[in-house]
Amino acid sequence: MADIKDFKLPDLGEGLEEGEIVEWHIAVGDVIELNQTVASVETAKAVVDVPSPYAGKVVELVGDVGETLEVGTVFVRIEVGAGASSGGADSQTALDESAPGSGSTGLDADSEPQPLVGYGNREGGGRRRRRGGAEAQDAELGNGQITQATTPLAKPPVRKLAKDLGVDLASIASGSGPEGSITRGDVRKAAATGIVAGQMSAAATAAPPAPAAAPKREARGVVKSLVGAAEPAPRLVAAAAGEKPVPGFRGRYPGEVEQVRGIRKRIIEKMEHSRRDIPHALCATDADLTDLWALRKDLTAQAQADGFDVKITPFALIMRATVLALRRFPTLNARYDQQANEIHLLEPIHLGVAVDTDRGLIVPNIKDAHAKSTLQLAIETVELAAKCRDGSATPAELTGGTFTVDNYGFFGNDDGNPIINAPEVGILGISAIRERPWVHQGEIAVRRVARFQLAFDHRVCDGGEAGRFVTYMAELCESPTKILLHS
Amino acid sequence: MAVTMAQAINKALGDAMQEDDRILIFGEDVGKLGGVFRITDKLQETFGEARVYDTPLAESGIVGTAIGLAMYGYRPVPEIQFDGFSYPAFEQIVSHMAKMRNRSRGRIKLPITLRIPYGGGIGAVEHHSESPEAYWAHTAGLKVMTPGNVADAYSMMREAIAMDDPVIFLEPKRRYWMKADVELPVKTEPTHKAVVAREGTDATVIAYGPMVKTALEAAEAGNEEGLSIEVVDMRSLSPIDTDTIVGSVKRTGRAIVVHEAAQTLGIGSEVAARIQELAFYHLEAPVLRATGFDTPYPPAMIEEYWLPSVDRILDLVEKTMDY
Amino acid sequence: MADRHVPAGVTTRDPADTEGCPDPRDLLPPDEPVHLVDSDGTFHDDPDHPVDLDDEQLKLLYRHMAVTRRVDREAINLQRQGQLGVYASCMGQEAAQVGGAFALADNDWVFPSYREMGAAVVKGVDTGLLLHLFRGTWLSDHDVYEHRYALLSIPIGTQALHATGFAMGAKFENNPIVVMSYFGDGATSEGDPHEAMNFAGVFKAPVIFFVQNNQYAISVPLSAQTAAPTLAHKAVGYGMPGLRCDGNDVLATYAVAKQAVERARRGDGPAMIEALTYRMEAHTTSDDPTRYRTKEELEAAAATDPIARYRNFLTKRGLWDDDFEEQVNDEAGLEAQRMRDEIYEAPHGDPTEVFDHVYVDSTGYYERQRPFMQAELQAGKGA
Repeated sequence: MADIKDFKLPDLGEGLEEGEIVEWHIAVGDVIELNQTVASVETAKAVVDVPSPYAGKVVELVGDVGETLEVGTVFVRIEVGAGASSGGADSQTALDESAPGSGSTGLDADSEPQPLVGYGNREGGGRRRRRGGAEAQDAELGNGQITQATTPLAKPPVRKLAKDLGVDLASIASGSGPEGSITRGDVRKAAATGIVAGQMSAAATAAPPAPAAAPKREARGVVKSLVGAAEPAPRLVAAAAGEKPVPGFRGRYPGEVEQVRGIRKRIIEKMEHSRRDIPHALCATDADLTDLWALRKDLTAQAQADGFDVKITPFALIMRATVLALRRFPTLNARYDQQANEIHLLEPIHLGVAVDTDRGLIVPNIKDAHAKSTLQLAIETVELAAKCRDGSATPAELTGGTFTVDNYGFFGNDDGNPIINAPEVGILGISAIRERPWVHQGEIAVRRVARFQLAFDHRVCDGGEAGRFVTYMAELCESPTKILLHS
Repeated sequence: MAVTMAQAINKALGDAMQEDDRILIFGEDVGKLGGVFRITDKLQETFGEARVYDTPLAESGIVGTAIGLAMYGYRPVPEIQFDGFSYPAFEQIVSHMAKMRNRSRGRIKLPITLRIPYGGGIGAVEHHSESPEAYWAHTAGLKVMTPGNVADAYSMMREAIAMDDPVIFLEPKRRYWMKADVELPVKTEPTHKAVVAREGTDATVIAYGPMVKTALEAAEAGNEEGLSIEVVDMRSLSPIDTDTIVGSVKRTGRAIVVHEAAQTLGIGSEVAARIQELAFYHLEAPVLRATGFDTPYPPAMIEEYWLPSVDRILDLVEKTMDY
Repeated sequence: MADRHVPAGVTTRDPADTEGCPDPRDLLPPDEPVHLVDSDGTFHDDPDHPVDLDDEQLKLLYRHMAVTRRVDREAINLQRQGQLGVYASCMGQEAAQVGGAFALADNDWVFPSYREMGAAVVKGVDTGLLLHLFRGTWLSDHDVYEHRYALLSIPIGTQALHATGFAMGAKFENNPIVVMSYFGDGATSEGDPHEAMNFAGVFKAPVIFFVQNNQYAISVPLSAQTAAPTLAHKAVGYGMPGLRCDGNDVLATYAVAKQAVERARRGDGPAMIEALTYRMEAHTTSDDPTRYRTKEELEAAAATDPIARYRNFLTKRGLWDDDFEEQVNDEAGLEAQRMRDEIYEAPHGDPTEVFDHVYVDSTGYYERQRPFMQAELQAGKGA
């Protein structure tokens, strides 16, 4: 069987898509040599002489002179091995040939721009294939790898949806999306069961701040991580029997999972350290604060008449008393430096005040409380508490306290067992001021009574001093004129 | 023992030259003068003019002859005096240095370490404060690395010189005088790895070269305000250690990339693209970039307002916390 | 892969030999380019430019030129047959290339541009391998260390710096080899050859800058390329001699090149040779030179054809006979066939090979793209 080769009209590198046969230089039946010119083909304005890639007998010529053929179509068929040798053809002609190679194309308006440097535009080469290359990429993306999610996974639009619907992503036990991520469906389902998270709603109402509003660092520290705008009071919804639990205080509800981070993390660290490393001892004295209580309205009126928009609460007066008591019993305003083996009795009193916020317990302190009046203490307490709640308290305000006062009476408690705010050595708990039967001037009377409960570091303070401190507190507060006397 | 980054690089060059005869150091003013930043100080004295020599003022020539020398069998460590003057050598770098191994199908290797001091913050006149790293990192065939601290400067330089691939070694010139207590020689992480320079939980700040120090300062300042910032020092711009970077962002959920170079099409764009591709479900906020502006580098008196600062970084960190 | 030379280190050297400034007159080219053989084959002996070749070598020169023309034509044919995307012919420049390269010793190196088929033939490079660049199967496919013929270089003139660097490397360890750097008249306008020649002069590197002045840079004639009296006049600016020869006279070219090469080998530094020749074909197969040069000019150039001229010389010398002619034709034909066998329908390799040679050590690289391409290829197979 003869070996017949097809010579397809080549892409001559001119961006050629078709060519017109101008002249055949061979005829069917001719025995031709390798590189022998078979035809002159017109591309745009110039003519290209096309040499044969095969030596052999011409079997077929496809196309007449004047006919246009597409690149890639067969235009000559040659039976190889028939006749002429395949190699070393026509070297003499080649050597003598000094005319320039013909067929270089010019550029005209009708032709494609010649590429000069390569095959040119290969339209036919843009084959389509079956789609699916992206699958390999998925495998590489690590989509298959479920990371140990310590935070809820969700793509950004889902996070927004969750915020808008007030759903806490952390509350959704497992997402049904890739990598365990939470989907729109998961969020909508969670929302439909009536779970409203207090935590997320705050962020939902706050728009991201414009960059121009970002404050300069030198001016003041901005602790945006504590952002939590004044939030709506948690909606109390009554749950029907058998339904999922509804949110309780501050929107918390059974089944939710809180990630330990930020403030909570710090609280945990501090509480563990305090209880573990400081031997706490307690002593308490009850006090009749009836007279103190009576003062508050007058003092408030005074303050406001002087132009200060603040309430003078019994707590403010108690703070003033605390300062006096600390001066008298300085071991309670101290620092124990274990490494240096020293106990420093501190001169300034930076009075810490426990503030209850939605994000947790925060304890700012009033600097140099010993130098401040009752009014000032009252004002600063209010200011600091507000800052803690809106997240704008500075690091300076949050550190450096020397003694703390904890007013759990605000919650209605009669007693407490406060934990010392390390590295301080004492914390004074103040109970609710409650009307009680009391012995007053020898008779049973209804008086307003509170308990002062001191927790102290028994390494640094002895019971003698601590006990007397708390008794002195009671004394001062029972007779407020003493506060005036010793101020 | 306190050592500056300049001294660390100088020692790395000397130690390398001691161990391998085939290493050559050349460039403008590197010989007698010891380099305009003294990085090649006393090397000519120690190793002779044959191995440490001054070239004519011709950056393309410096890199082109380095290629010829590397083909011959040497290990050239040429210097381009300043970032802004690397451009005359651009063609030799991207058309030849980066491509020769590939186009020779693996037969030719060019173990060249091209040293280029870069970055601003030194109050310089024009063209001496550029950050061209994106051009090199975008060019396949080059390795691009930049130390952010003294120990890395030594270790990464030693590793770069020992590599058989062409390296663009970008030296953060504003940190040349940064001091640290390091015993040299020292070996730090392999150069292709990024390193968590400081751990944190709220956000990841990703930086390289001169901005690593700034990023660490921002993290320290942020800490005072209750922000727990993790800092990743990229170290390698080509390759980029995606695993370390993405791993960090998966933990914190927030990323801010910092570089002096202009924002558009800077390294930050690539890092952001990879993060959003690989940590999509972990993101609490979009990836933000604290960078220079899309303008030519400013005059010396204005550069402090133009370059990323501790405040610019923290503002963006806070922005991510707001989402 | 051929053994690469590993340098033993660097010996002492004087970086900028200042044994006194050279006299510029010694460096400027002569008024007339060196010419030894007329078109009719008449040889003019020039004692200043001796031709120290025996009969075998004289015939070898012809063989090299004949083979060059033959494989060059074959490459053009292959392009016309759709086997190459483009090809840059050296037709008419055979004497310039062969004459220059013939002056080199075995261990000497050639740093070509992309048109030096003649130099490749002299060095014994498999010319088919050089065509892979033009076919697009890979970017180049010969081992430079095997025949000491560097990679083809497309960015104009940039290779001159590589040549200089390589020569400097040799000089640093007193390796008495010489590097021949080829580029054209157009390249002398680029910055890199200027920097290369400057470096070479300062470091006294053993490199010969062989400028083939074929009168055109694509369509731009020499007159638009430079205002210098000749290209060789530029050499004085680099402190090296500027030599000129009739590039279509293989013996003149050889003689001039030999002197320059041996001078460099002695340690006397670089030189620049301007070989006057003519590019008979188009810039590449996609170029149309009829748009910028006349038929008359072409015919005049053809009359100075280097191969015909040298054949006449050999005839006059009594070295030409039918047997020799047949032998050369056969050899040329065989080389052409070898080239054709290498290239015709040569398939490209695995496309993912693009990832293989980018780095010696690709640790840490984002290796996601290779499987991506592999997946696309897999999907394509099913189509």
